[in-house]
Amino acid sequence: MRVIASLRSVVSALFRRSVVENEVEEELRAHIQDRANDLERSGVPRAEAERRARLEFGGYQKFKEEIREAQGTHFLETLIQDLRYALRTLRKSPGFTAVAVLTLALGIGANTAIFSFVDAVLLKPLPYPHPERIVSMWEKAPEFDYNPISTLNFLDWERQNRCFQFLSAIVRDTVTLTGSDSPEELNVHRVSASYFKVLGVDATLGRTFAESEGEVGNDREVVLANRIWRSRFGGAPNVIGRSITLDAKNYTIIGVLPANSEFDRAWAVMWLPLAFTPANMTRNYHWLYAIARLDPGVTLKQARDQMDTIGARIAALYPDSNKGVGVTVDPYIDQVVQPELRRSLWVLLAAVGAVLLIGCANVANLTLARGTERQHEMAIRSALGARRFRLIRQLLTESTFLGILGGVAGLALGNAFMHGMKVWLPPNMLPPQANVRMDYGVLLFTMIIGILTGILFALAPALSGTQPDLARSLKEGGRNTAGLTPHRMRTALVVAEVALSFVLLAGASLLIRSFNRLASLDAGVDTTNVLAMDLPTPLTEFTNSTTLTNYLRELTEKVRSVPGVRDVAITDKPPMEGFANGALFLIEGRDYLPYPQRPGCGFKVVGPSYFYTVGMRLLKGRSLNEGDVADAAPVTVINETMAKTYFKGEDPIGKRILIRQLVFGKAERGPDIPWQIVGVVKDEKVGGKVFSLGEDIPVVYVTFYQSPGIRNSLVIRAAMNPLLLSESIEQTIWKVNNNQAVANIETLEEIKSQSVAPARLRTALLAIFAGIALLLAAVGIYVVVSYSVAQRVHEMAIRLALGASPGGLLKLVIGKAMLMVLAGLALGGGAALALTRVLASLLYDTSPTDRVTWVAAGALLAAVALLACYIPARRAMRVDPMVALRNE
Amino acid sequence: MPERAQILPGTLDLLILKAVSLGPLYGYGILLRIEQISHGALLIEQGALYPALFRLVRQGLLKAHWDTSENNRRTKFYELTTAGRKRLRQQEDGWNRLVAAIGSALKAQPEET
Repeated sequence: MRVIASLRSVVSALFRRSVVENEVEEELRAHIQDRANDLERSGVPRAEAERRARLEFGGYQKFKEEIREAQGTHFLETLIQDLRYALRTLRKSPGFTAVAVLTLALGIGANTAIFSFVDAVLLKPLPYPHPERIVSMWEKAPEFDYNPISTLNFLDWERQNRCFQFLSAIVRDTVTLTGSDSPEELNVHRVSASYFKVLGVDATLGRTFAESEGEVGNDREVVLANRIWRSRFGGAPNVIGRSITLDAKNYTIIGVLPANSEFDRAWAVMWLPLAFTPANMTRNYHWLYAIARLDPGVTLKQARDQMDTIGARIAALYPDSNKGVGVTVDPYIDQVVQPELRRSLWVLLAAVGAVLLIGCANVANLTLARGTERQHEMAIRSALGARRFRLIRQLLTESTFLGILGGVAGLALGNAFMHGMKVWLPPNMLPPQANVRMDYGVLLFTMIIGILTGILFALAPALSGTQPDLARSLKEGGRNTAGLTPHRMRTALVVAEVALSFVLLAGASLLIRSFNRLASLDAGVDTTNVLAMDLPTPLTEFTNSTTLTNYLRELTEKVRSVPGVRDVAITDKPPMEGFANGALFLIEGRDYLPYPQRPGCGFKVVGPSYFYTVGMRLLKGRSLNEGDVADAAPVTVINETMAKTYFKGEDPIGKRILIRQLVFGKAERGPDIPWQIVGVVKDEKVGGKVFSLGEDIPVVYVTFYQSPGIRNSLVIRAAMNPLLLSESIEQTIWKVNNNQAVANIETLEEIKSQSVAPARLRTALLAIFAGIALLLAAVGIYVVVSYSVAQRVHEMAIRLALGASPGGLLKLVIGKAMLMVLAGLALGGGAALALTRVLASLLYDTSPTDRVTWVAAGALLAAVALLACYIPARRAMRVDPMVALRNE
Repeated sequence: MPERAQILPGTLDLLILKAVSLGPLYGYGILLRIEQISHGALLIEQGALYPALFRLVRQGLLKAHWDTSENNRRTKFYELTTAGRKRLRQQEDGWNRLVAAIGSALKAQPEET
């Protein structure tokens, strides 16, 4: 009751303020009128009656004031009052306001942008129902936990497990879409019928696969991603049931997936049923990926235990293909978000957090300096009866207001920054499930850090600034010898700023050094004027390997005759894009090893002119040549790493390597083929999705005549910018076969640049943040030194008058400031030493304690700091003692 | 005119509650009622009435509403709330005990101590 009544009076006080004021006025006047009337009635003349009535009433204004107080001042009312005051004060010092808001906006903006990525990639659950129940599965090979799965192993897992509700195999593939325009190569996923049930996703139009569609004969159906439905099929609803031609076979469109979902950001644009043909039924050809949904109530641990048992059982039954092979079951999220990305994002978030802290320290420093100037104001206000709490509250309101202003500006900046980054981001760097955008979570985050920074940067200055020595402040009339507490606080803030920026600078320098090494890495190939393009050849068109190799040879010859082309070669993967096949091998004459225990190498299928076309140097023996055809003796050229690793101190030439045959057109490996080594080439960097550009991997090269496959690319060395030739090359290809899709036309320069893109991105971002941090720290030092010089003009004047030299004063000021910087460097060095260790896995050929980098970062910071204090310190030298002292 | 006594601090609220307990009143009416029930013996600074009234409203002891007075003017009337009635009873008891105690203390004769 009382609460409601008091609330009501507060509310009316707040929102009907003028109404209430008028009512009070009316009530008091009525009282005086009534009194005057009574007096008049008792015989007092009217004028005298009114005078007496007013007199008896007492201090009219005083009572009005008391009434206002009696009505109670409310939190909101005080807030509005404080805000008005804050607005006035901030408007009076536009320089301070601008610098503060800008600093905060920069820090908050960077945080908002990075947080939007962290939120989308790391914090949000995967966009599926019960995403924690989705797992990804691999074969656990003796040396490698994440090996693709063979068909029969997968089918055994599917049959024997009692822990998965749904289990789906996945194959990445490309198909050629023909029928309209020019033939187009499309990325697709071939998946088990239960794939969408594992994810728990439905089509928005039509349906997804039914159980029977995983069988041969029923597998000619396709589910479209929304984006290709819109771009290629005009978003027409009647697309369901329509027939399209993929790899020269007819498929029926049965469904369209939701718009703006992860399927619209995925690598694939279509999903086809994966039906195993008899040719696929092998245990030694590893080509499948798998995801599964755990049965409700089954834990990851239980699933792992069960799959271990199943894996062991299979290994015992089929030792030739499965000895020592187990099963890896991981949460799906671990596959979606790779550790490198996870780490990069956390590092970047920490970096922008540090930038914001430095920004806060700067604004705190500015506020402290202002606080000293405002001591007089505070002293007067507290002399007039303001309680300390009230003053602190006033200052906090002011700074929170600044923080919110910074937050709003930061939101705009962060939004722009986020969109910029999304454009700049290399494709497929983020998992498709991550939908990066400004949502309420990000908004909330921004506003909270805005308010928190407001409180953070003002708390210290507010506490020290409102504890004025009243008498002294008033007596000195605003001329201050800088107080001890704020001075110490300023020093501490600068030390912290320097320390934080040193951590960032050291981290950024390490990444820059690592990136430079990575980017200037000798790729082992001559990347100038080389073009690569994919030439997918569907099995449906080339059922026989001789037709295919003849076709490829014809294409190569025709393209070689295009004016401007120097040389051309077939390869199953262009340089730096990984390789199409790995192989387990045995060197003839050495100890026998069961198949799964054999060492692995890259197995690259190329045209004989490959080494010359991409500019790889032959170190020993001969190159592959046109005589190495299907019915000739199988030969191989190995790379230097292979020679060094497996033929230490021996001549590899003439030795034979046993590798199981890749059977054309089948997911199967045939018998061991003894590949005779005829030459050794210098390494080309393999790179690609699995290997970093920096890794040296043993590779064997064989001709496509001797190991034909359907996945081929062309590499073309031109006499000029090769992109200019791409059109005439395409025309030439289509003259041979107008159903031949040509895809992913890129220069080797572009491929190289893409292979270091994630490293470049995180390096650039961290460098930008470190740059901002350095700039802010410099501003911080500048502010503190120039403020202390301004405060000490009097002292400087006396020193000069007593015979100190201007140079000596300069040294004094700079020395003191640099002491702070050194303390910051020492502190930051310690912190950086501990923190840069988390960067280790992101560095290429660079130790986290790389001395050159550390010294360079420290020197840069010291130099910038020196400059930042030299400019204001010079002012100390120029003090004219007469002018300064006359102001006494 | 009888000699008037300055009211004790803190007693104005009690007087107002008492005055209003006899029926809704507007500001000047409360003053007159207090003069009437105290037989004109108490001196009240008239303006001080209003801060006290607003305080009592805020404390929920009085409620106020605007109405037309007998001379057809818009006037603000005050009346007791339930809480106000309760508070009045408590304060009357407290006051009476205090008066009794002080009274008996003052009546004490020197030889009795």
